[in-house]
Amino acid sequence: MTDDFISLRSIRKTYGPVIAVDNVDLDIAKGSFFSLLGPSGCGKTTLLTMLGGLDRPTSGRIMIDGVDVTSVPSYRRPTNMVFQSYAIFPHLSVADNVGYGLRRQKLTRAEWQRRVDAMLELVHLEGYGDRSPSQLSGGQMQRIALARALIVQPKVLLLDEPLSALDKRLRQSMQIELRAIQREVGITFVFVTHDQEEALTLSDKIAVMSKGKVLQCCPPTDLYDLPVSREVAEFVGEMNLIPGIVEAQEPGFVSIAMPCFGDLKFPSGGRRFAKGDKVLVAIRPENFSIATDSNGLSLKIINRAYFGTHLHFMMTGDGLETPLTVSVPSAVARAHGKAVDSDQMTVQLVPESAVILPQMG
Amino acid sequence: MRKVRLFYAMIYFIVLYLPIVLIIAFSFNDSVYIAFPLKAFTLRWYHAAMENQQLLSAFSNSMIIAVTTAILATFSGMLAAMATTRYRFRGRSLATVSLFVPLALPTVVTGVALLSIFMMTGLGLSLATVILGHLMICTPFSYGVLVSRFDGLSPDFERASMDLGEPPLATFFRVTLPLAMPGIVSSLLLTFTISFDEFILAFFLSSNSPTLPVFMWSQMRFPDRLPLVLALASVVIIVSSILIVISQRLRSKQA
Amino acid sequence: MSRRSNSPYFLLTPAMLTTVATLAICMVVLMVLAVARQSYLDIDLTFSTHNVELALTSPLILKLMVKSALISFGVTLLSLVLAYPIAYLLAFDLTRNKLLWLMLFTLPCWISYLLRVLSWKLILGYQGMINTSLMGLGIIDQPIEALLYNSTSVVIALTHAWAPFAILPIYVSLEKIDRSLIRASGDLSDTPMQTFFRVILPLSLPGVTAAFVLVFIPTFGDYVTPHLLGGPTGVMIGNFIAMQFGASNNWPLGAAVALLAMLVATLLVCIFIAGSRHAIKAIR
Repeated sequence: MTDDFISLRSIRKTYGPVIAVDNVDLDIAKGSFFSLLGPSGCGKTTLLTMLGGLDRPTSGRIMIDGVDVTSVPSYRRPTNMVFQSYAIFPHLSVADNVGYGLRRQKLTRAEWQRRVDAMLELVHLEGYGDRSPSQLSGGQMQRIALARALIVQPKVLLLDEPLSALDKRLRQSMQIELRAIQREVGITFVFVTHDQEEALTLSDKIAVMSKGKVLQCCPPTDLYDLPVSREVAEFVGEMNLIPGIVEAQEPGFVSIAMPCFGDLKFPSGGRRFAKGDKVLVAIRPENFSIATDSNGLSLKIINRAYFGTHLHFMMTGDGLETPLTVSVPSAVARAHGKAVDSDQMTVQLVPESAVILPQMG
Repeated sequence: MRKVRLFYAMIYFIVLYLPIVLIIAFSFNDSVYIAFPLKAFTLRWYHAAMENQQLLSAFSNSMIIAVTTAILATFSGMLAAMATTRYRFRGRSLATVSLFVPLALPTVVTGVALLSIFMMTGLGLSLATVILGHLMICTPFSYGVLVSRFDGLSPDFERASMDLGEPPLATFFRVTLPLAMPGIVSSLLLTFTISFDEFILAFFLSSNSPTLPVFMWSQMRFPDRLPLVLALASVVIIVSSILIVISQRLRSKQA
Repeated sequence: MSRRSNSPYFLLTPAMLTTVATLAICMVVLMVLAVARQSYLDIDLTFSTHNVELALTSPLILKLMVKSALISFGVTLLSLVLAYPIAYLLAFDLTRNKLLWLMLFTLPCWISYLLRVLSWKLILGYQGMINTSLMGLGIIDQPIEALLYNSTSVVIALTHAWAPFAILPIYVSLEKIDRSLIRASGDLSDTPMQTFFRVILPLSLPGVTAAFVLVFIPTFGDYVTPHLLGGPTGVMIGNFIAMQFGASNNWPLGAAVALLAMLVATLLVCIFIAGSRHAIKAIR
């Protein structure tokens, strides 16, 4: 598995004064499921269409499998795209849609049919070939778009928010199916989404984008556990950010003075800090524990929400600017009698699961 | 208030179509005089029209002009519509507006100006000069019809085709053309009708090979030819109406 | 798109050639002609302001210009007033088959204009529908000659021919109005009349303006209707222009008057647009 099957170097795309993509460098491994994650307007779709050759970068270079494709038009690129709108041709039957890209291969009628049928089978739509696209549901359209793109055996499949138009239940089952198909065909998938949960579930690697730049590019677990900036931390999952000031740094650890919690010692995660630095202590809601002894901190509960497996508490304490979100497994909460009602709860912050971020950026 | 409006609309509708109904009614009237009361029913004016050699040659002139105009206007209108809906470029909005400018001038002005061009350059008048004049007033309509068609057509279809390996020209024939077809047919019918029925430009530019409207104009001077003109007019009105209705239906059809 | 950035210009070329470029040549030729002189059957292209001066000073041309402006202004106003309720009905009152009715009300626009004018001869003529019916009913015993061949008959025929053109743009602008604005105005205790004048009419102004241009320009230059129905008193500037290129055979004068007519029409349209904006502001 080479790490630079696809490589983007200093990619910029501007529309007049607007910078859509700002100096992006990325490497994507062969056969991986790679996601571009970010809010709308962050440049992720532009990056994808540039990979597919439907847009040309203002500057920079795109290499796919060792070939510079920067100025290769889309119809000669080894990439295929699943459009957000699906773009299923309304004037063609399902089979003609799926087999659209095969024309240049000059197949016999029988061979053409065999290839189309195989693809329809892959996406579980056997026997739909003669239907008109207008008779298909959203989920079916999505599969046809996938089959149509895969039939020409691209080196890279590009997917532009392909699941965003589906309802939640269908989206979840399509996620599983998409991952299964990717494993089966072994093609590199580059997937664009604004749904962080979707990206975390599906991807081998995720690049988080904002305002045309890549903020972080790493496997999903790292993204969740070790965000590199406040922006990433806030975008991926729920995160409590508590401001603090560095008291002292010793090898591997950093002491931070925080409101309400007082002085605590955190693993420094290889970063260097100086005394007096303003930092943010980032901690996930589930990384608090309900304390039984006096080590904990008693906080006031201002709201609670029940999510089945978990209970979410909104809590405030002296000196905290914003309320903390604490997530506790329902069973644990019940055992402590906090599921019903009480207005105070003692929680403990687990320093090993916290990340220290610079306050700026 | 609503009832008043409905009543008014009814009156308006009747007055709108009354003259047309009269033309058709008198075309079947067995009398040279166009006067009430109507006499017996006859088809003799239609028979007379079918046998009039001048009329038939004017009809064939009109057909040649209208068919050529419709095809050329629709073709150039389609290319222009593709340009302004599929690309962002400098001067785009200026181009969009300027394509409609020919409609903002009195036709008599463009008519005499074109006549001057053809006579002063020694080109002379022919069916081709009428076609050129008609292209000027038909292209804006074709462009208008096709712009709304292309606007309703997601560029993703063309992008998908290119992405699947079809170069621009193949994409045009496999995707753009079939998807734009209702708009293209609508434009062909509309521009055909406009060109076929157009009188003012044809009057200035057709010289000794008159179009059908110019022929009718020349016959109006003779009271005894009026019934024949009415028979011809009825056919033109009915056929034009059918073509326009089909054209409008195709136009409102969703992509 | 990855296609070359000059391709839109390429695609626009045929349409631009047959419209804008041809029009530009037309204007140049008219200007060249306007400063030439007619010498019998030939045109003398040496520069002369004779015809331009004539066009600007001749009392006959001035009279025709004023009459054309009055007739077509009258026709346009009548068309707007007659078409507005229809557009209103289509936009607000009808819910089913809107497009069908819209098509039926505007279909005559596309039918041969010459024939629609001709049909008025059948109605207003010496032995037309009105005269023969009135005589049949014994109300008159001589046909009324005054029905045809004057400026009234021209106004009637032109209004009938062009009013349908005014429906479409007004309908489009009415259809665009946010219905909640009308309800909001009702809530603020405006009477339906006030709502119309303070909300609906101002918001439909772009449509009314478009309709004005659509009707005023062609009627101002029309010569078919005056020729067929106008008689000696119904002559308009279009007839004068056509005549210079026909029987009178004075092309340079025709060109000068054509340019002048074009300028006058454009100027009057601009004045109307400015005036109506002003009027709407005053109502508010």
